[in-house]
Amino acid sequence: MGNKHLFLLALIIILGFVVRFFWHNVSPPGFTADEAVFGYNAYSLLKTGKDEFGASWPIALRAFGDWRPALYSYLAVPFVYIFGLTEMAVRMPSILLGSATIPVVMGIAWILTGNKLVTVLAGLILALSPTHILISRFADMSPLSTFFLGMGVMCFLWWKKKARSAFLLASAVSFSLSALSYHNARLTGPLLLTVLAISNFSLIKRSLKEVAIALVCGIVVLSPLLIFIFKSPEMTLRRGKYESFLSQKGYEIRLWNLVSSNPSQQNPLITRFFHNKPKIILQELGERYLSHFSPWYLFWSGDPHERFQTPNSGVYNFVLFLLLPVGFIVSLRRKNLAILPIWWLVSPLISSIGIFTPNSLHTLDASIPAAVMAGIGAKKLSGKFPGATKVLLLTVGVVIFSVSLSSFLKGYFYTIPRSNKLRWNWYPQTKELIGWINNLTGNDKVIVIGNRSMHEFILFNNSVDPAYYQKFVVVSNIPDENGFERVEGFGRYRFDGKLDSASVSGGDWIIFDKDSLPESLIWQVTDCAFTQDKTFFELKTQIMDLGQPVYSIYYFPNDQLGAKSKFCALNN
Amino acid sequence: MIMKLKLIILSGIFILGLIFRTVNLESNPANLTTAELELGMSLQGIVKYNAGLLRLPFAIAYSLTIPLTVFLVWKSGGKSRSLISDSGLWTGLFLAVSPWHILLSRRAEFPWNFWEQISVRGLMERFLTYLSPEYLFLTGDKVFLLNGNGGLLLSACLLFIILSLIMATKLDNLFRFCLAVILVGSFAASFQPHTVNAKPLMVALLGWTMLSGWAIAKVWEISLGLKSQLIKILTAGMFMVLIYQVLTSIQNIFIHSQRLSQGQWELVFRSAADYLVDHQNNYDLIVITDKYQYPIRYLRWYSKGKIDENKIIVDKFRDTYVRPKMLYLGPVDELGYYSVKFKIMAEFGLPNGIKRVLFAGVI
Repeated sequence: MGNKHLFLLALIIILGFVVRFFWHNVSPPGFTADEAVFGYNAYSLLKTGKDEFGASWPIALRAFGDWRPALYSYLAVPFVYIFGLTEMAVRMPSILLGSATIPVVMGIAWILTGNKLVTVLAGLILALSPTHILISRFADMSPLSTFFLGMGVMCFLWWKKKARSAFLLASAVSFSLSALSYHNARLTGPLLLTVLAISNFSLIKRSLKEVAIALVCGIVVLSPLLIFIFKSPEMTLRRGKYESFLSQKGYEIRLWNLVSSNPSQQNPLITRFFHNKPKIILQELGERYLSHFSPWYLFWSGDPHERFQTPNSGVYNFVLFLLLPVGFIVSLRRKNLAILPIWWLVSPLISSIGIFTPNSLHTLDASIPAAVMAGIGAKKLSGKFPGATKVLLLTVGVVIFSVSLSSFLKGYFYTIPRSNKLRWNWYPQTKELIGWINNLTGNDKVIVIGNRSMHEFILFNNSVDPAYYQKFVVVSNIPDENGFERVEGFGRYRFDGKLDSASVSGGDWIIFDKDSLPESLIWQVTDCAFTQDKTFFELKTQIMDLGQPVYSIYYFPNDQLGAKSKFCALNN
Repeated sequence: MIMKLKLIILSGIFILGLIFRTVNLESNPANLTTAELELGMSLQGIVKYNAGLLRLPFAIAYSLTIPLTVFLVWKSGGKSRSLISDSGLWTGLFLAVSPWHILLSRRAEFPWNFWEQISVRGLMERFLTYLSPEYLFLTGDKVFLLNGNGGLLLSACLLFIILSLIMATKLDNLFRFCLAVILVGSFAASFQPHTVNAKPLMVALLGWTMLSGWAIAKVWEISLGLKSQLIKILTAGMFMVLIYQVLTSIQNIFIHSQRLSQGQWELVFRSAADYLVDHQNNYDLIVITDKYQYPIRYLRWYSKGKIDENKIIVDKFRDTYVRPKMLYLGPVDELGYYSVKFKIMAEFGLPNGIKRVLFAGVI
């Protein structure tokens, strides 16, 4: 590859980094509790060598009882050390590894095809991929696992091509790191490795010593996770258990409906033959799996979950609607490219077990084969047509790409920050709320109603001393109906699911967010509110976001009668 | 000789298709759609209020599309004559047992709807949904619930399509022809109103069926040529899954889709018509709620023209209609309000077991 091409590739990587790194003050329009978890745990590890609940150098973070992989927090430690506990510092691993995935894609494209056009296009498509940009701009485990899976595959392919054992070693370590970074890679990684091993069986047979060394290294890196799985299988599988459609048992109702609509006089064996549990589970799994390949989801509407969705943009740029199917068919039919369609098909498997499908977060790694296949599709199409038609097609392709990209950029940087509904997915103004609480003098209790992740925002924004938190936090050890453990309180803070007037005393501050307020207060008149039992609260302030209240702060006065007559016109 | 054998097989497939399309035609599907009602009314002199007679020409015409499609595949060209020939027969067999085709064949409805004014977003939504594998192979139409329990096409075909794409050394004319039919058909369908029966998608579904036929013929041919016993066992397994899905699909049509059709609102007029035929002489005025469409036409159809339409007014209930010999056929959700006034004479439900939809009451 000449200098001109290398310069072009470097430009694409820089472009990819720019769209992931800048304008965080515009979008995403806030900071989530999940991000705060990674950030505060990084801070806690840095200060004490323990996570927020006092576990030394953990492999999984307890967080909300979801026992999420801790690798993200470890990677955030240096940034927290350098920049302090800030939102950008926490997002840096995601931004950097998200950007680093671009050269990985280019590497895979180059090794597999040896074609400059495919390499440039694959890099450009990933650099400007709507979902990959969106997810790499906030702190999440998915960009990590995507990067490490890509590295694993790329290094394996390099090893195959260059026969240097260092690549095999790097591949094994990358696959292990991918398993340490996110749950989805724990199935996708081994499946990809199996495919690579089967398709290169003779090479592996010839290089048994190298393979054994790489395998040992991989297992060593993976060993903390293996020990954790062995010691605490319930914790490892808890999220999977609660987020699986199998545990929700919705398929049983479906089965019952089918069985009950069969004629009652029909032989039960025939009914069982047509309608049985394995079949209905397989059918539901199939539906959830295939939903990841819906063109509507991929190229137009995007993820159904609002936080991972950009208005008027699909998961991929719309130009892939033309390029991806061609690249898929071409790759499927060539043995040396088969890893790409197989990866794309394997990626949604673990996500399909979940309740929320299709899911772009759990299948972010599919962006890698998709980008390369799209490049291959473009190459195939460009070779198919003669001069004038080729120019016309190229023009159409560039126009579609540009329109789709601008639609994404407009949706992400303009529409989301201006929509109250979409902004709320990012908890805007939470920092302002905590600033307001910090200004309260005295030691009155602060009771947060409804929002079960507020403690993480408080810890993060106030850089609470981890040793203090580890000592005074009170956690409910019994998971709720969704498998989450609830922090009940620490210090002056208490976190309640619902407002219970009996547990509130004079001088307490009560905070509602916009979701929990309507459920708790039934009767509100300008600056005061009553619960069902006619307990009176004085509205002190509301934190506004784009002109709408997102947090309401109430005060519980000692003198109920006096306050009622003072503040409320309607007090009977 | 070989051609003769293939024609005999094709005749067998046609007869099989005809059986699936004509058996119990009057009672399955149980309901008469408004489009069928309209056509039935204009042909009442010929069909004599018989849904089976009304639907029969359509069932036969749709059955004839089976050999026509087979001939289309045979004429589509391609270097391998045996492959094209086998693809045609597999396509015919698939079409004969296809859930979407059987369900369409059993309705007296014309296959084309008028064009519709539609936004670009709406158009894209339909077009991309019509290409969704989940929609086509597993869930079917979630809005209209065309199929009681499954997609428009058999999901095992998807495996055959992917396998054939891997195994085929060359993608021939037929493959490209199928793709073109799918894309053009899906695009054209996107301009039509979204209706029950996935009717607008007919052309695209034909394309998918031809593609499935091609894929199965290809996999069959290649597997037979391979020495690997494992591939043969796997292919045999896939064919067993396919056979199971065909059986399930037939069961879906005759049990679950029938069950869905028994829950359609228009069927309430069937039991109401029986009641009115027996009791209309007792009343001077019969007021029928305007909550459900075409009450008089449905009553005329289900009573085979025995209703005295001069006595009927279709309207909301008003006090001005109250007189000694007045009968009101109203929706049961009005009963809470009017129950003081009315003495309930009868209640009418749907054949799927929903007991109460309409009531007949007198003051």
